[in-house]
Amino acid sequence: MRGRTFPILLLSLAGALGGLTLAWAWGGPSSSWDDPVEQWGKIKFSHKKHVEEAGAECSACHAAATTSEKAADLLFPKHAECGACHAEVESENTEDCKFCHTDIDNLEAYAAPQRLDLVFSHQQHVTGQKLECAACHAGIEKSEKPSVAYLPAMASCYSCHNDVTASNACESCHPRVETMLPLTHRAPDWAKQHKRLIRADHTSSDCAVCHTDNFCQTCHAEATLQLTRGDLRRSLAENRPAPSGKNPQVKQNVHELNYLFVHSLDLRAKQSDCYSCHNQQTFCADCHSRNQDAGFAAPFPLSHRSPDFARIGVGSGGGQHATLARRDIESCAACHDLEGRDPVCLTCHVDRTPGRGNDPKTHPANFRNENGEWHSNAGSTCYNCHTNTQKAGIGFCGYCHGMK
Amino acid sequence: MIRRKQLWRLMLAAILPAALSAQSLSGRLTSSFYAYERSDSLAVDSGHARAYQAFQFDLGGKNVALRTFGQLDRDFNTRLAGDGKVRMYNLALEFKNLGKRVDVQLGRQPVFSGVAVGTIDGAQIKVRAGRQLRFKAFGGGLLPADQRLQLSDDLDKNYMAGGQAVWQPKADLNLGLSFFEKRQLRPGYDALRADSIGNVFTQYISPADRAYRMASLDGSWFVDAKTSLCARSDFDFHGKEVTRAELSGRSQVTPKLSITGNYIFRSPHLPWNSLFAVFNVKDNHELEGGFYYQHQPALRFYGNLAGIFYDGDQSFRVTAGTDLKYGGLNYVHRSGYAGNLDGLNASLYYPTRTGLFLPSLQLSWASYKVDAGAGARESLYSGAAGLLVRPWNRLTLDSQVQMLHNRYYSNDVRFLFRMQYWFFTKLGASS
Repeated sequence: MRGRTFPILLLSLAGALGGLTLAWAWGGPSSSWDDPVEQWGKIKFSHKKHVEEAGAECSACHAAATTSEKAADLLFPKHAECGACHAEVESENTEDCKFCHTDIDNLEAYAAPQRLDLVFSHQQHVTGQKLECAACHAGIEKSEKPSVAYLPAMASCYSCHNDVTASNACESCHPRVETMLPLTHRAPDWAKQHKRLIRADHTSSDCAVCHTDNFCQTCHAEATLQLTRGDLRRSLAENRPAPSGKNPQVKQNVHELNYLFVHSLDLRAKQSDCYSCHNQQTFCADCHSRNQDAGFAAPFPLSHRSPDFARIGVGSGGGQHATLARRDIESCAACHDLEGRDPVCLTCHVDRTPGRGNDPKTHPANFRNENGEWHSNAGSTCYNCHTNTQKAGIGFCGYCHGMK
Repeated sequence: MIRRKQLWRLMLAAILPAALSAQSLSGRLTSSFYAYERSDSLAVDSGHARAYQAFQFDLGGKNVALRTFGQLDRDFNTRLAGDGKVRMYNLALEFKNLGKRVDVQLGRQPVFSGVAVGTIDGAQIKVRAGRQLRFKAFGGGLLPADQRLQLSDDLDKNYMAGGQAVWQPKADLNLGLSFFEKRQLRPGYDALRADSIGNVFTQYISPADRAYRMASLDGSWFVDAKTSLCARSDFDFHGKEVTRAELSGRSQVTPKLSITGNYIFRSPHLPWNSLFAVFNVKDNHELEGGFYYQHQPALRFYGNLAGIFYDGDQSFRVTAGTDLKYGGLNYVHRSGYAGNLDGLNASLYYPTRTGLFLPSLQLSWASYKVDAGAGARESLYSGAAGLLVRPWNRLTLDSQVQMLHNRYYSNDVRFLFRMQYWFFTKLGASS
């Protein structure tokens, strides 16, 4: 079976690459709001003149809105409807066309909007909920030219779709929620960028339009088996089922399937702050110490097998382990700073012969040379290695307090 | 038992006011099944058939809401320790807009407050002091490691408390000052010790609680429509030192091209009183730069290079890729102290029938060496093919077949199925 796997995978990869090429070359259905807005500028139209000055009702021009059930319905008034008030519509003088059209040499019918990512019924909102048009299209009565600015933004929807008045479930309005991401979220480094903005509380109100605390918790809570999340664009395979998430499957992976085998690269390269989701003192140990009683059956760094890994003796420099620890002690702590047992450092780094300079060098110069917790706390970390003699001139206390 | 009684009382106290003023009930139920083989070593493996049931119920009112979010899981093939446990991630009562300025949350809840991130059993208050100032304060006990519905013992040794003040002098500028203190109880244990003449004896070790006391200054500034800057500096009160500083920026240099830059100073992220915090260690520095090039609306290229500089060594990360309308392709490279890796990821998906079907395909390959001392490189392959079906906007069926090939799994096939249903009901509504 092993022999077959490689060709299958390679063929799959080649197929995927071919598919990607096709996906790029063949546009397929639109991905989001692809309203033909460039057409809108070809009509000179002032809502202000019609609504505020002429006193027209919205329904006078947009009668179809009261019965429309699709977001993609074209709800602009037809040419003939304009003619109900504008005599220029019937005129045979082409100059009269310029009354409304900016470019009479290139007249074209308005294309219907492409809104495949939105389910919206004007009928339900206008007739069913009896909402005023201005509730969603705020300020349009003062606009002097067509603009997308008066299409409702998500925040406007959220004023009702807040899980009190109406549902805030993404799927209630967005049929293809799995493939829908705001532009900001598509940045390859969005995972880092969102942290920076949230830490300074910059986007909290915007985030709340789509997300609740529960959403954040699907990543930012340690549950080692099931809380993983990501998005399809990061092209990593699904790992575990997630407990929540409005987007099943494709938005539920942080780590790819094989991450178990390469995660140490990310840890040491600081690619991820593992401890923002995982408990430093228990998570790593779950695997790395599983077989601790069986000797070296647990995953074991190759560096530890180096003959120079630990050099013993004052002035020896400690060997490679000292170099690695100075460089990146978080990697050491990942496996050795665990609950329920001694840190492995205690094997050698103990104050066996109390007195300065008698034991392996541990602390940097001027290490905690002020009054420290060792004075008041018998459980101080210092007493893991040093002996609390509580007498001047003896042991640890004698380092500073000479014989009286 | 006392704890449990207290908890039930707390829950009842939380539910009653929420229920009384609730205007809506919404929920989401997610049932998942995941079958896979797990290798603990080259010789030992086990089969697993895990089922997960997640639930999320919210009783919503205009100014009061009760939020719940939890999960049960168990293995039907190989029982794991702790199977059948109920994990509660969120069980909190929210009072919103008290006096139009104050939000209060009571119960189990997440905290995102500058330098403080976590989940507590406690209280949180947010105050909008004006247009420019916001305050947040929180305090509570830490959760059991497996999030089960139980209050921690020894709250004075198992808590997190702190707050954040945010000043927003302009809409595009935020400055935050946050603080938190956390204590985490460490269990005692028996250890072997030797006396002065070498006699070995057993001693019960009662370690001090893990202690953190940190403050952080965060800033984000959208200089203009094209440029933004973020900065951060963390200060450890116990160690009396800056433990992390970060400056990052991004700028749209042309309509199609954006660049990013980032500098991070790090000292080890350890509790103040960890034994590992007493050693003579060095800080590291990271420099990172990247770009996005939006060639067409449906075609974007990106690249990123980072160097991490340790004491006497360095690591490099390189990422390059492209986003397409219905997929993506990226290449990653790692080298240096952190290990060596070259990897390729590809994904493809295509929504059809207005969201009724979403087939997807994902493939990954990597060649790696996690340690400079390792011999030959290892190879990893993984792939997944999935189909999502949403016959009704409230119901989603999601299946995926996954395949792994690596040192431990010569031909491992896994299966995932998930069904998700959500609802929203206005209470008391006639229809």
